[in-house]
Amino acid sequence: MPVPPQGARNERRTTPLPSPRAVRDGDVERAPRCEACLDRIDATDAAGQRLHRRAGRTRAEARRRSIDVPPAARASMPLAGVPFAVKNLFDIAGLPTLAGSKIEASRAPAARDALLVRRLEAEGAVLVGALNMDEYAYGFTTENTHYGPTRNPHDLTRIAGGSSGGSAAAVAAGQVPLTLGSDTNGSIRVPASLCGVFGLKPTFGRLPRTGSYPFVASLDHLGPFARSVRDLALCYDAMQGPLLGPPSDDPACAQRPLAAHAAAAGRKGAQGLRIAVLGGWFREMALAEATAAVDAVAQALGTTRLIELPEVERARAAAFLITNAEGAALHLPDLRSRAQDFEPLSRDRFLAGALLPAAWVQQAQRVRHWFARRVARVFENVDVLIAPATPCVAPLIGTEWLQIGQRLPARPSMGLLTQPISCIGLPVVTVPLWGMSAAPAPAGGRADHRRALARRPGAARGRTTAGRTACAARRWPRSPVAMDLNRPEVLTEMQAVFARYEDALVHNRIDELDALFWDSAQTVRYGAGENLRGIDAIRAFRAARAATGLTRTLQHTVITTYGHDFATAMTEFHRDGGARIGRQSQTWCRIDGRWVVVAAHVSLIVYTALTGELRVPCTPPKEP
Amino acid sequence: MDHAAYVDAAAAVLGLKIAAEHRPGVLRFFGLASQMAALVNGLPLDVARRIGQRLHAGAAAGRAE
Repeated sequence: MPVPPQGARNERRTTPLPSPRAVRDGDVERAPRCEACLDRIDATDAAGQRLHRRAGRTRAEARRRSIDVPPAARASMPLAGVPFAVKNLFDIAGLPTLAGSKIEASRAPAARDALLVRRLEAEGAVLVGALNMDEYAYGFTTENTHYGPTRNPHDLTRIAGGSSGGSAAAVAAGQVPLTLGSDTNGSIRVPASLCGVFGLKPTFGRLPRTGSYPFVASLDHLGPFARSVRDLALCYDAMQGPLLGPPSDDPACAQRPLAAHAAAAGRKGAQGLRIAVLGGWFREMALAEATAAVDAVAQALGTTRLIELPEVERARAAAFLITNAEGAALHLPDLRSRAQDFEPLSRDRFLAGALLPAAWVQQAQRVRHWFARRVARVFENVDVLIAPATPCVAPLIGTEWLQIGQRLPARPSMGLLTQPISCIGLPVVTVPLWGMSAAPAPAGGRADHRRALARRPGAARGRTTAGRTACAARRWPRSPVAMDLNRPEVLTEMQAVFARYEDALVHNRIDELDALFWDSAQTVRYGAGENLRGIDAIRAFRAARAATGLTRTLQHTVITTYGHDFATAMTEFHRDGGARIGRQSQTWCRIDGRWVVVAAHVSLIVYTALTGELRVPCTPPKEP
Repeated sequence: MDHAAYVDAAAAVLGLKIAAEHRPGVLRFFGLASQMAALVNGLPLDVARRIGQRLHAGAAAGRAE
């Protein structure tokens, strides 16, 4: 397949952000990109991506106009015109910060944007909306009862993961190229994994949380989703930096100097990195497709090292208890007065968490710190650890139980492999890896498995966290085949394009026919009597042929779409008075936003009605 | 521990009214938390090992606090 579906997979094609050189030279057309995203949101939101466009087109357009700066000035705005959206726990001035809840909808609107929103906009990015999430970030599935579930763009019957499910799904669906989310126990890594996009959970304390709705202050991280490592790095670069306001805004924020990462992303490779696979818990609690993905990565990187961290299950238990108690304590007044208004899927967990004995929680903190020290020793001998981000592929919406060695409750168990890592604040990049699942694709397709990298925090030996991880990660993603068959909106679109092609063909509208073929030397059309390789040969053939006798009747037309951007069209045709039956096969792709034929094949057979015999004609016929 | 008795008593102290329809779920999750507590309490730790107010991610042994 020459071009993967829109929504994120081929890094070269879908990388949405301009290169620094393109920005400097003024090669970047900002307005269309922003407009295209807003249109894409309109087209896909109904399918369940749940981007709440509360920031609104008006704000986005005003913002886009305001950054229409001269090219020379753009060099200092690496995100000029890039649309982004945020999990709806980030403050947006003038709107209540919902945090996925019904309760917060009646609260006062935010006075100003969250700090990270302001930092991104200062670099030229354009906020277009807020995204669905699990209520108060307490969940791994984004099955939000108040606002509806966020569906996985690769299979609408499956979860997108959570709690930043809207943030991952919006990138995967091509609504926006960048989003922000939060990760307390895996809420960036799990949805990034299940939606097949890149996610970065930075080191704890690295990005200030000012203006975001807290869940568990001692574990909360903020971070970006994107379609490539370079975009993650650009976004991270724009957001990093010490807190300049009162320390009380985020006491955990590290006061570190700025360090640029994007320029190094993808350049240094994995050479010199000490890489190992995480064993023990991280293999025992993962299904075969997850461990196979990790093994494939390890093989690609040439590592056979297996490292086991000590007491991982206890570390995960510590994360569970701290989260349960601290999260519940935050909402105690509302739990007392209006428990019925909480998300039913997490309300009972919140209520139980409010009752935990202090001794349990304090011991959990001690275990957490003990575990952090022990893992720090491991990183004296290794730079990158590879582990699955999720134990399985995306479950169906409504799944209650998972079978991972034992029967486990599905919703809390999606974070089995992420909680021990975020518990001690390590930086992680989640990277998509396609085609590793042995599970059969269901009718609507499947979401594939990904794996995450846990890295030593900080910038060892002068290399940057994002940059180094990027170097290794960029080698691995493989183009997927999306088995998301015949999505209604895509099929309708394709049927219309096919009808347009047919009309142009029988009326010999050459310009339109040319426009409906991929403008590439790669395009191939095998006619009934000629082999045309490359768009120039195809155009020359069309220009030279007779413009009469093109009327035909189609039968047995079968159009099939795969994902958002790939389709096949098969049809038989018959011309008036002719004895031959034509067969036409077309392969269509959406390239640069337009459906085009990338390969076609036509043949003719003679059908003898009396005997039913089929014969290949011996004289070259006209092009259909 | 008698979870039901503890939950009822603690909820009363906190002024947390647990509706009858929520109580089975609360008990189930409290039981799950109890299992997690057994895990963390099963790790013997030196009483002299202090934890700081802030976690220093990745700080090597002896420099974390």
